[in-house]
Amino acid sequence: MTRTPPKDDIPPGTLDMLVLRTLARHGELHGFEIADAIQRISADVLQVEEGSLYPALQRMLLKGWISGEWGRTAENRRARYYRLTVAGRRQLEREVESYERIAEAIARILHGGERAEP
Amino acid sequence: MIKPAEWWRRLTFLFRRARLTRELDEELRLHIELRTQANRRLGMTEDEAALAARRGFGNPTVLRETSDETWGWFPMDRLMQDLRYGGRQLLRHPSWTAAAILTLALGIGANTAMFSAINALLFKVPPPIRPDGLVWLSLRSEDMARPRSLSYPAFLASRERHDVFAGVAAFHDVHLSLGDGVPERARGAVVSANFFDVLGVRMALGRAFHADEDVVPGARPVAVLSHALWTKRYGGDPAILNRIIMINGQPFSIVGVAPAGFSGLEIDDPLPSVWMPLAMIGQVLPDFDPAWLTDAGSSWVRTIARLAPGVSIAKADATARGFTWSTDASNPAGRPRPTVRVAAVAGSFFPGEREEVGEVLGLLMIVPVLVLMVAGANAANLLLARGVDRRKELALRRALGASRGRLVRQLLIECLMLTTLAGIVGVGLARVLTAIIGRAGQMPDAILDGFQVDGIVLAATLLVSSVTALVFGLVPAFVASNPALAPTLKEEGITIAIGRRRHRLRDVLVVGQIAVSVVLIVVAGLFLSSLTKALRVDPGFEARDGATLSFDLALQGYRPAARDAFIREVLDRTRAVAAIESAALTTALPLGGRMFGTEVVRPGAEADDDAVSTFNAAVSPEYFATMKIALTRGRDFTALDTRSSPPVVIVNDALARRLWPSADPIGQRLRLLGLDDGWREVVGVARTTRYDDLTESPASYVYVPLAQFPPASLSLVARAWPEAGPVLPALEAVMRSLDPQLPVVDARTFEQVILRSVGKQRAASALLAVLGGLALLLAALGIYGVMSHATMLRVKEIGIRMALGARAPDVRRMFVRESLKLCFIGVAIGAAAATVISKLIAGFLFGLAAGDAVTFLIAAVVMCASAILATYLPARRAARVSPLIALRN
Repeated sequence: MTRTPPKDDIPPGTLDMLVLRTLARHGELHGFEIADAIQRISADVLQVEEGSLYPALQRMLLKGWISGEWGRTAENRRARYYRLTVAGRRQLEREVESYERIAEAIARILHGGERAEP
Repeated sequence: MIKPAEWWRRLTFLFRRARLTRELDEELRLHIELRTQANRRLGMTEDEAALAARRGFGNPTVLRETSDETWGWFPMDRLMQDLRYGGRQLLRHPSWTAAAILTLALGIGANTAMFSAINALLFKVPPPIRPDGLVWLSLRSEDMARPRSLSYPAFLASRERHDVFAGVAAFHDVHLSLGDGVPERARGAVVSANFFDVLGVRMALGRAFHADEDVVPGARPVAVLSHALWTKRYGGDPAILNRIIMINGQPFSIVGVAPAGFSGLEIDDPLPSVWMPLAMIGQVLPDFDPAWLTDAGSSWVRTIARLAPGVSIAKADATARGFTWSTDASNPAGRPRPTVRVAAVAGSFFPGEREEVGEVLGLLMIVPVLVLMVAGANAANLLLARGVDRRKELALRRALGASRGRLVRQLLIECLMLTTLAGIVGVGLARVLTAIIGRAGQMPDAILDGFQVDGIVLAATLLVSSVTALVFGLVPAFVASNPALAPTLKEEGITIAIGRRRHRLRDVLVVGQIAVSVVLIVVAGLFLSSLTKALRVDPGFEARDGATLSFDLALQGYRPAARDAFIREVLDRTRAVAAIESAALTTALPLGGRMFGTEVVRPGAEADDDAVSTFNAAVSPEYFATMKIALTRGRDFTALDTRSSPPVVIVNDALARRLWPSADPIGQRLRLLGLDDGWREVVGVARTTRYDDLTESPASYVYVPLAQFPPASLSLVARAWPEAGPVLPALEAVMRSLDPQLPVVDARTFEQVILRSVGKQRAASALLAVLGGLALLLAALGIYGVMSHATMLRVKEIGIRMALGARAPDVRRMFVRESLKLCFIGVAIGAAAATVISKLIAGFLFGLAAGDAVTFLIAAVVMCASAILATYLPARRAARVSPLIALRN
């Protein structure tokens, strides 16, 4: 048994959205920072599986949602910094919208009994 | 949907992939370092921290592959990988690879050879001819066995139908005596002026015929030469135009040279080498009768047409049926009126003939397909054996995470590489095979030249190769790709780990191979024994010490008086040769390939329906003595049977029995319809011989004295004294001394005449013998390979058995018994299939029941012997191995 809080894997299909949102908030981040940020902001609930982060980044580069540029970290290490493109911002809106719709629908099902008679 | 920009990014990735992969690696390294630092901060030791960071990523290679896959070039990549890997695998086992490739190449080569023959004979229109919309016009009616050429009036009627045909052209083949000095016998054709235009053939030199050259009979002696004749006889002289060439002793002016490869529409031997206007037919065809131009009943005009734009063959055919060209008067009542039919020009045969040739070729196609099956089964067995050897490699790859599908694909790609290489070798082999078959079957060069591997044949070969690869590679691939991991990797139980399924599959393949080989051997054997039996048939005349040659005095412009003098002189001079016992002349030599038909009526039975059709020949005195055809009754013709003496006739046994079953034929009278009007008295009865074909049933035949017969092409026949040696040179010398300019053809011994008459059967038998031999070789080698491999795999088992007290003979016996079991099953299945197939081909066989016991027996013995040998030798070797070594191995 560990004393660390239980960590959940990111729900399937939402990794892209989380990455895009993180980039939208922070501007420019490299891969480790993205993973760290998601974990931190979710209060250590969401754990980015590192094995799928980089393929996802590659995929989004290909789609043109993000762009990558090499820069230097605070410790003067070479790192690729990702930032959101215009297409990426649109994609983020679309994904958030569709996610919220689904989340709402799920919530309605889960809490349906309580809200039976308006 | 993939956007253009995305495609562009994918493309840049393809070219900059090395850099991009490096960049990804750098990112990952950085990530791991940062994660390690983070872990350290959480209180892990250095090692723990690094390990945990790495574990987070899982397998770095998988990660890299997954992100590579994102860029969309992965399938191609993997294909390249598989190809490289497959290439290495094939190179690592050169002898195995060579065996597999050669095996498949034989099967593919045999099929390619057959494809190219079928393609050339039945489908391809020789290149200088434009094929689209080119059709044959033929006459058909219910009472005709096969389609016929058009009559001249029917041709004229078709020519007027501009609504269906853009152009209609006619030709008629003629035999020619060509050139001055010593003329050569050749073929040619008289053609309508638009012949070359309709075919879409452009002259290599000069021009085709003008319309006004085909109007007035005999007025414009012009000729077009074939490219072959031009290069052979005139050395390709560019100044050939307007030169004079002598055709049948008459000067023709050369106006053009046809393009290389053009030789008309029908395959024949020899190919036509000169074309003249149809209006010149009276000049080049001695027996031409102007009535042919008006008689709707004489079918002699080969007619081709180019369809008008937008007209389909079906529509043209429907329209052509309504053509009218004959009156009821010219079409005897009671006979169905023939209609004009339209069929696409394909291959090199007239409609009807094409179908007949097609049937034979289709039947023969069974053989290469069977060979391919044997070859494929062989290759599958080789693959299976390799699969067993590669168990460990495949198990390792599987353990390292390769999916089963990936392994199957890998094995199939190797298989495809094999068959592709085999296809290339096979196309080369096909050329060798056609040459062998062509030579053995004595096919004319003209036909062999058409057997070229072109796009269609190549496509067919490719298809066959890949289907073979799939069919015969898939099962071994599936079997091999699923090794039992743990035991295989631990190298345990070599004997036990080979599942029963693999054994069973191998057994099925061996049984199948034996069965197919038995079928091949039986079929080939049936054809061969049918041929030898046919050749042993008594032709009805004595073939030994006989020789013949042919000439045509009419083509050379001999007048009747000169002709009579020549005939007397040639017989006198030939009989004067010391080595020659007797000599004679005939218009048709038995089995000589020329048959003339007529109808015979008896007195009192004048109605046409009582006529008996028979074949005829005009012969000089001493013909029967020279051929050694016995006269069973009556007398031979003599010098006293002349043009002015009473007309006489000799009939053969078959006709005599038919016309006068109970009466004495001598002194009876009969009339030969179409030949002459008067009655002829029967003066003799000759023994029935074989006339057209060694295997024919007895045919009716009449002989008339040469002196009472119109001029025709003649064959000189001569019999040498026994042991006198070859007399053909002497005969040729006699001909030269009489007329050095007279072309002499078909100079042969009687034996050669007989051999030629079975040319078709010889070609088929040669094909079968060559391919059957190949299949037998393949099957024997294949069975040997599989059996010995299987035996080697069981060395350990042999060791155990011998350690437990089995003696060497017991072991040997056990293996031989097992292979014999397979062999018997295979032979039984094969024999059953062969029985069915030989019933199918019974029509082509002569003189034996479809299930010839001897052939079946030979097939069974050969297969069993090779199977026993294939097991006995490796089993003996295995049994000699010391049990200790075998077990340690």
